Amino acid sequence: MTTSTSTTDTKISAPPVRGTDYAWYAAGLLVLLIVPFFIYPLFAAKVLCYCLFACAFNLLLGTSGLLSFGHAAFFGSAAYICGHALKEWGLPFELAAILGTLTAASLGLVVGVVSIRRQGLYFAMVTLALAQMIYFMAFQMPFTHAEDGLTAVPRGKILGLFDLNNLYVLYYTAAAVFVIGYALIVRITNSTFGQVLKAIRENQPRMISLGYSVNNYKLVVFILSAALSGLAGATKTMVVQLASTVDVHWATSGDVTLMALLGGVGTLFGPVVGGVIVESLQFYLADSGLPIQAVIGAIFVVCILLFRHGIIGEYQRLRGKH
Amino acid sequence: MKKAGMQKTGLALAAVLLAYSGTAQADFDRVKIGVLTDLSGIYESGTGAGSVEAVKMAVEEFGGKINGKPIEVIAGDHQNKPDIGSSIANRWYDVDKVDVITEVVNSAVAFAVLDVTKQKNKMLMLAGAGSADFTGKACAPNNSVHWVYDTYELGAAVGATVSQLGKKWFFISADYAFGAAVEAGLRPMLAKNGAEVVGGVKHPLGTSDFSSFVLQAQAANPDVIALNSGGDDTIGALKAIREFGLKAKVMGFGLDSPSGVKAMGLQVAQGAYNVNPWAKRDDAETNAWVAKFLERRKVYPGSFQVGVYSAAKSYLKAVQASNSTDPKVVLAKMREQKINDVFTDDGYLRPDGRMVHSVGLTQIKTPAESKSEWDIYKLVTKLNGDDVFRPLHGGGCPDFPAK
Repeated sequence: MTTSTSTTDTKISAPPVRGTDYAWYAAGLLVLLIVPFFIYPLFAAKVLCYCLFACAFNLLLGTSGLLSFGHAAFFGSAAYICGHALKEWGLPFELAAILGTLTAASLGLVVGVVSIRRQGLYFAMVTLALAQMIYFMAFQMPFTHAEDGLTAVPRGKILGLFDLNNLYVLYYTAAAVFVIGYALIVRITNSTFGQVLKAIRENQPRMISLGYSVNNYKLVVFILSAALSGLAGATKTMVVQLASTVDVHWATSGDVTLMALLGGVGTLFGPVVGGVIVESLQFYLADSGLPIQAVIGAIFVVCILLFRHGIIGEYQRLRGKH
Repeated sequence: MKKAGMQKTGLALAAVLLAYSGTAQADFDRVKIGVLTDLSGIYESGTGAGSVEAVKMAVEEFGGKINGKPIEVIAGDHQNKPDIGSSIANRWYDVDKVDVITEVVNSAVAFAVLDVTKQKNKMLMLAGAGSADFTGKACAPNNSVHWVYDTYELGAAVGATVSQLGKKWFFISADYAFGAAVEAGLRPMLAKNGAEVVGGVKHPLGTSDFSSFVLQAQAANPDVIALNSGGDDTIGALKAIREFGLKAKVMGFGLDSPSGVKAMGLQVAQGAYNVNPWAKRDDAETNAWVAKFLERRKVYPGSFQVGVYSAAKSYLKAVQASNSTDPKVVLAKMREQKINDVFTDDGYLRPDGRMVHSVGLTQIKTPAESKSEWDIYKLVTKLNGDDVFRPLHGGGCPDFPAK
C-alpha cells in the first residue's frame, strides 16, 4: 500500500513508509499465489490483465493528472499486434508481448506529442479522437479481421518449456506480467520523476518557472502509460486467445476510467480493486439475469456519491484521520 | 445357492442393459444447455430473454428429462464482448459442465466461442450469428451447427426475388460494416439473376434526415430500393420513401423484427418486402406455439427465437435417440433426422453443420389486411433451401473442398 495522496489534496506526498509497504506487498503476493485454487484460473488471469491496464491508466491520471480518454487504442493495438504475431508469425508469447508493448509505446509517442499540449477536457477529446482513428483502422485493416475479430490465437509455450494451455501455467504467467508491470508503476510513482509529475499536476506554472520542461515530463509518462497498457492488452490476447474491435472501442477506455475511479485515482492499489470489481461484475452477473450495465452504472453512481476518492482512496483517507 | 442365483439375475440384467443401450452407452447423468446471448444490449429484442424462453419451451416438451436424466438450462449475457463470451464459454465447459452452447448472436462473439468449443470438443448451435464463414473457412463439422441464416443465404434469397420484384435496383446502405457486407453479398447475386444496380448511396449510422438520399433514389428511377441497414435507419429511410411518394418496391433488411415493424406502424411499413429465415406456416401447431410464446413474452417471436427453439429441440431428440451427449454421436444422429417443427418442415442438417431449410419472401400487410396486433407479415413465396444456401462444396470449409 502506498501513502500517495489523492488528486484533491494539494500537498506533495511524503515518501512511502517502507516497513508496512513490504508487509502489504508480501500479503499481495501470497494472495496472487493462491488465487487460482479458489477462482477459475482463466478468469483470474484475465482480471489481472485488466488490473494492469487500470494501473497503467492511473499512472497517467494519478501522477500527472492527465485524463486520457483514448487508452483503449494502446490496449487494443497491442492486443492485435500480439495476436497477429502469435497466430500468423508463430512467435513465442514473450516476443509477441514485447512487440505489442513496443507498438503501444510508439503509438503513445505519436498520440502524446499531439495531445499533451492541451489540457483538461481538450486533452481528453484529442486522445479520444485519435483513439477513434485507431478504432476505424481496426475495422479497415485486413489483419484484424474487422468485426469478426482475430480469434483462435494459439498460446504456445512460456520460456519454450511450459504449455500455456495449462490454466495454472497461464495464470502464473499473467500474474508474473502483472507483478512486473505493477512493480514498474510503483517504482515510477515513487521516483523523483514521479514526484516532479505530481508537482506539475498541482502547480504547473510554478514548475515551469522552476525550469522544468513540463511537456517532456508529461510525454514520457504518457509513453510509459501507453506501453504498460499495451503490455496488458498483449497479455489479454494470449489469455483469452482473441483480439476484437471491443479492445479498441471507446467503451473500453470508459471501462478503464471507471476501474480507476472506483478503486481510487492516485492510489497505487485502487485501480487493482476497481479492475477486480468491474471485471467480476461483468463475469459473474453474466448468468444472473440482472441487467449488467445498469448494475455497474448504479454502483458507479453510489461510489461517486459516497466514496468521492474511490474505495481505496476513501480507506486511506479514513485511516489517515484516525 | 442363493448367491449363484443373484449372480445369474445380475448377468441377465447386464445382458438386457447391454442389449438396450445398443451401440451407445448412456454417458451422461444430465444434459446441460447454455444459452449465451445478448441479454442487455442492442440484439436483446431479437434474441435475448426470448431465446432463453424458446429453449426452455423445447425442454418442457421433453418433460424436462431425457431417458430419466434431467435437462438443465442456464443463460448468460455476453454483453457483445468476444472476450467475455469466450471466458463464459470456457467456464461453462470447464466448471459448469455445459454440454452444448446455443444462440450466440453477434458473429465476433460466436467466432470466439466456436474456437473454445473446438478446443474442448463440445458442441455449439448458432442461431443469431450470421457470418457465412461458420460453415466456410471457420467450419467445425464435428462441433457446430449453424441453424437459422447466413449472409450468403440472405444475398441469394434476395437475388431469387428479382423475377418477381424487378430488374433495376438501388441501394440505400448504412455506412458501416454490416451495410457493406450486405451490399457485397447482394451485388453478385443480383447480377447472377440478371438485375442491374442503377445506383446507391451510403448514409451515416443514425441519420435523421433521409430526404437527399431518397431524392437520389427517385432520380435513378429503380424498380426496387434495398435498405441495407437496421433499426432506426430502416424506419427513417422507409418513412422518407413514403413521404416522397416513390413508386419503387422496398426490400428492407431491418424489417425482420416483428416488434420493430409494429413500432414503426403498418401505415409506414405496409408493402415493404423482406427475406425471413422463418417461413412461417399458418397451421395449428405453429399458431399454438406462437400463442404460447406470446403469452409468456408478450411479444411476437422473431426468427432467431423460433430458430433456437428448433435447434434445441432437434438436439434433445438426437440425445434421446442416441443416449449420448458426445458431440460426434449427437451430430450424426441430428443429420439422420428430418427437421420438422414450427421453424421449418423441410429442414435437414448438412455434414458441414449448415441446417438447410426453406426461407420466406414476406411482405408487410396493409392496415386493412392485418387482423390482429401481431398480424404483420404475409408469405409471398417460399424459397427452397437448396437454392438459397451455399452449396456444400467450395464454401471454403477445408473438409469439403471444391469439386
